[in-house]
Amino acid sequence: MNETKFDQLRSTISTMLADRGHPRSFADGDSLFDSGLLDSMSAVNLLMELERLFDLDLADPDFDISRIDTFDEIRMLVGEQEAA
Amino acid sequence: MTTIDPAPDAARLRIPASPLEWRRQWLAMDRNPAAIAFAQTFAGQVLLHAMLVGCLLAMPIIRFNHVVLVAGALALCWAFPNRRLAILSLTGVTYFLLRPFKLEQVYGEFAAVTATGGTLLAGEMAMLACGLVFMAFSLFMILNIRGRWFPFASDRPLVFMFALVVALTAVTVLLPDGSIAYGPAWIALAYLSSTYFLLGYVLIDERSKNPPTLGVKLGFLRPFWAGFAPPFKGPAFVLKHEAKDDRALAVSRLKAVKLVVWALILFFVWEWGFNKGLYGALGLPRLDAMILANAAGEPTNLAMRWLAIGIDFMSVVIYMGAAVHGTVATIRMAGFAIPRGMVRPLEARTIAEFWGRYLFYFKEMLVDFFFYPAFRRWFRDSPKLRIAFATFCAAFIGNILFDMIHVLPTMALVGPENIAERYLTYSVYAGILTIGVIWSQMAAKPQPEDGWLRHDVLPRVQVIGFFALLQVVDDSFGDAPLGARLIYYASLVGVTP
Repeated sequence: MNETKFDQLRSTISTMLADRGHPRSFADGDSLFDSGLLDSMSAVNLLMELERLFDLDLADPDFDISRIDTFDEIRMLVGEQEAA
Repeated sequence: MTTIDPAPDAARLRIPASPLEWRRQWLAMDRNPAAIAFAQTFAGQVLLHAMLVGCLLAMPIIRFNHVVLVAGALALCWAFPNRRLAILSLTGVTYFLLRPFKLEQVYGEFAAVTATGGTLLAGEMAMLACGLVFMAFSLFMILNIRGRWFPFASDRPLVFMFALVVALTAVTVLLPDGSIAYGPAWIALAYLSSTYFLLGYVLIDERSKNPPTLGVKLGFLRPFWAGFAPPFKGPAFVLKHEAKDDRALAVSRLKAVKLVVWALILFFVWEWGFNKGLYGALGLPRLDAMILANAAGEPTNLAMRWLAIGIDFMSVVIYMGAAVHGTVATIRMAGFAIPRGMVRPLEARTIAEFWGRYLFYFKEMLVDFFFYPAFRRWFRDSPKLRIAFATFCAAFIGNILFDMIHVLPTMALVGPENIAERYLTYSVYAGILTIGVIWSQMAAKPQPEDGWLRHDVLPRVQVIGFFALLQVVDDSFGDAPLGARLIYYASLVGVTP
């Protein structure tokens, strides 16, 4: 079930990358934000997508935006929040 | 210091034949194996450091004493590359203890407060003692995030510190100067307001993936490159860009030299093209002078009124470019290859994009401190309202607060009404900017299929026009009253007093 959602998320990120003139493909370990590929508005759209798909609680005081710099980290964050 | 013998490739460094070839090779030197190898030699390292310091001295945007500090810190980083973080801590703590405030006026009042019995010590000893006390407070704030002894201060450290700033400001304004509580309250306000954003980043970073050590964090209360500009993100971000080996360090230093030379070029364009050329030799009036003359009813030419805005806008963009590039180059020379702070702002196709390209680190600070916290907590069921409110928090509240927080210690001296009057114009500026950014986030963006004119030309003209016109109310010093600035807007369409 989650894999379908992750595929949707991957597609969203690909579209964001294409919108900013970058190749659509990216590796799970690629830095998306610190590398400058995506900007803070893309991060906002990504956060909304995470809330919609995985029902994440981003108001958690322990959440930090630097924790979703790569797709691997997003997977980890989703796993942590689901386990909590 | 670490040096290597020149690689065989170094022998292939060749002298370009044409200026265009010079430029191409210069811009590509951080990818050129021969240049990277040379940058790792002793001679190369001396040359790169000398070029950076020389360029900083040649453009007096940074005070001479600060350049001396930068040169000393870079020399230490060069001599002991494996101790770079310890040097960062040492120089940062020293800088913080010796120069904790941003405004000269605050130093004057600090001397007056400590001399009249606000503390047991006076002069530099008082500054040293107060700095150590504030560092202890910072340490407590960091440890409280780990220990959660005071949940509100741990979960909302920025709001907690802001509440402290407001409370201390109220105390200093309401208490008489001679009161026993005035001195300590004013000193606490002076330190907290001058360090709010730097300490804020240190605290935010406590939740990052790899939080830096306590020593490094304390060094970021005033890293040696810090000046009047917003923080260049926090320690976790800077450390993430640290060069991990000699080659990466050489690349970072080459990038630093490229950037500082570009900064110097921009500075000379500003100094010789604008200050000495347009404003000096040609005698074109500055925008503020035109605004005051126009409001006074002096005859001014319509074309000149528009021209003054255009020249002022370009002058500010170029000067800011020189200042931001100079600081980023310094950080890169220390071995942290952080991204540029300004990237071709005039190519922006939306108002929001312009902010990201024009003052990247200022925009990042507003996003980190105001946008994300508001976005994560408020109006989560209404996406458009959620983004609009978060944008308001960043572009309006954050923008004004960043400028205003440093002058709060002076409120007790000049009165709240003077501060409010001074920031009236700036609040109009921030309000127009906020509306512009929200509009640019909500409006449909032209697509490539809409054609070159609608996709590439018109959006850029709109963005440049918006920010150029915004310059008329971009005033946080109270140089001209708001009324005069609004009259100037009217005069741009021929309506004059």
